[in-house]
Amino acid sequence: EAQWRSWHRKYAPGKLSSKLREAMRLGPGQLPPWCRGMTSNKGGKNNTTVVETPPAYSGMLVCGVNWDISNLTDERYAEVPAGGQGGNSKTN
Amino acid sequence: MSTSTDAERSVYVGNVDPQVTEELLYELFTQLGPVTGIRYPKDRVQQTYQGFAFVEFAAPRDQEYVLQLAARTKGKVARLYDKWLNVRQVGENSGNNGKA
Repeated sequence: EAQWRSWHRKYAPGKLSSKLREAMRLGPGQLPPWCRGMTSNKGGKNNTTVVETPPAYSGMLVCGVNWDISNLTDERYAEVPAGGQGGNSKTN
Repeated sequence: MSTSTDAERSVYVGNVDPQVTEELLYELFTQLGPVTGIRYPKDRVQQTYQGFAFVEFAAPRDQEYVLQLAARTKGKVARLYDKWLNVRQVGENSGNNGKA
């Protein structure tokens, strides 16, 4: 479907349009709320923190999670390295 | 081609403000995994959204991840127009969550 193809080109993980940020009431310098769920504290002897970024986007770097917060801009809170996308459709 | 069923790849999203468009849902959930389908029903008579959607991902692991994320954030995955989305497993609540 043409509409889906255009959305697919337009939107990417790690990037948020101003429209979405506005709907989310996300101010400058604020991380999307779901980022908090990407780390979980397992406690234990070493107080281990487990990082779980989306499985479909391998190697995804998320500000405040596994990427320095200084990388945060209005449009970008995370980045998927080249080749990290399409992990779901790999057929090799 | 995936052999998983739609339910294994989908999540139910409730408490969706009527201002939310399908495009906004697409952009939002693309953040967590590749979105392959959205069902966002409208009231037949009033032509307004009914406040819930089903978002289908490419693979069951994406669905699992989103549900885990919802649990870890204690339900606060995202809010749109001041309403926190209610992200749940499909069919977890009543039997007719839009299953037409």
